Amino acid sequence: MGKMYAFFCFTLWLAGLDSAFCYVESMVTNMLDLLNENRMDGKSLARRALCAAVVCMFGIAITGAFTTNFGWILFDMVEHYIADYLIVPVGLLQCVCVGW
Amino acid sequence: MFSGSLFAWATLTWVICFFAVLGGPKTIGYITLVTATLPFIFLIVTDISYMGLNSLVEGEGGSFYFGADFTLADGTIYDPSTQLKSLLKDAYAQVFFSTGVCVGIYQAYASYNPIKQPVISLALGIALTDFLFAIIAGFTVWGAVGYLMATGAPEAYQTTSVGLAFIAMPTASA
Repeated sequence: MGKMYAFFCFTLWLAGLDSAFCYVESMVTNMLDLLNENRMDGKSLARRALCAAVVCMFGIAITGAFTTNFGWILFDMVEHYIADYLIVPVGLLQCVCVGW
Repeated sequence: MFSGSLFAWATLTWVICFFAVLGGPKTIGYITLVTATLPFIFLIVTDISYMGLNSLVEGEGGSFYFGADFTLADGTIYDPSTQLKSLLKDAYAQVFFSTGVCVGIYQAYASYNPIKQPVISLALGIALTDFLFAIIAGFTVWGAVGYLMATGAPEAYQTTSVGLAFIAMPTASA
């Protein structure tokens, strides 16, 4: 593998990391909003840390499935089902919910 | 069976992610300034290198990208108008994924916005930036594929998601 591919992989990793913490942040925000705890005082920060830890632990557990030998096929499957079948119905439902 | 080092790297990524989220949306804004602009610069560098590879062997990746005739593995000429359905499906999957719409990100972040926020122009800005990014990224991909086509490598036909990133690209830069 050439040096350029390492560079390309680092770019991919950065982009992935970027979206990973966007997604985690959105989940944590929604959880804290549900608990009505989204202020920036000491207690809420502890709650935020706890929420983030739970979400990240969950993430590590799911990522573990992708690091096995089956991960390659699993990734293709997950991507295919989410991209082709799931994301448009979810988007339409969100439009309905927000417009309600 | 199980790749320990891969799992360790994934865990490291999640740990970084945890510390990024810990500070709240303000710190994420600063971190994103770095992690979103660096790929943009890197993308231009990979563009130049892969298009350079492509022109080194007189590959036609660039002209394929702008709509020249593309011969498939079975010898027929690829005609996009016969595959409009799958093209549209791929296009919407790409756009929905890359903008991150429909997964609740925008709703979550919008709760931190001030009341007088120019939302429509910001949404247009997001869509246009994504479009620009995708167009620029296309040069990297077509540079690699054009190089592989010109050298006659069978990996040139690995153009789906996983095959492209982890089979075709490393073969092109090896």
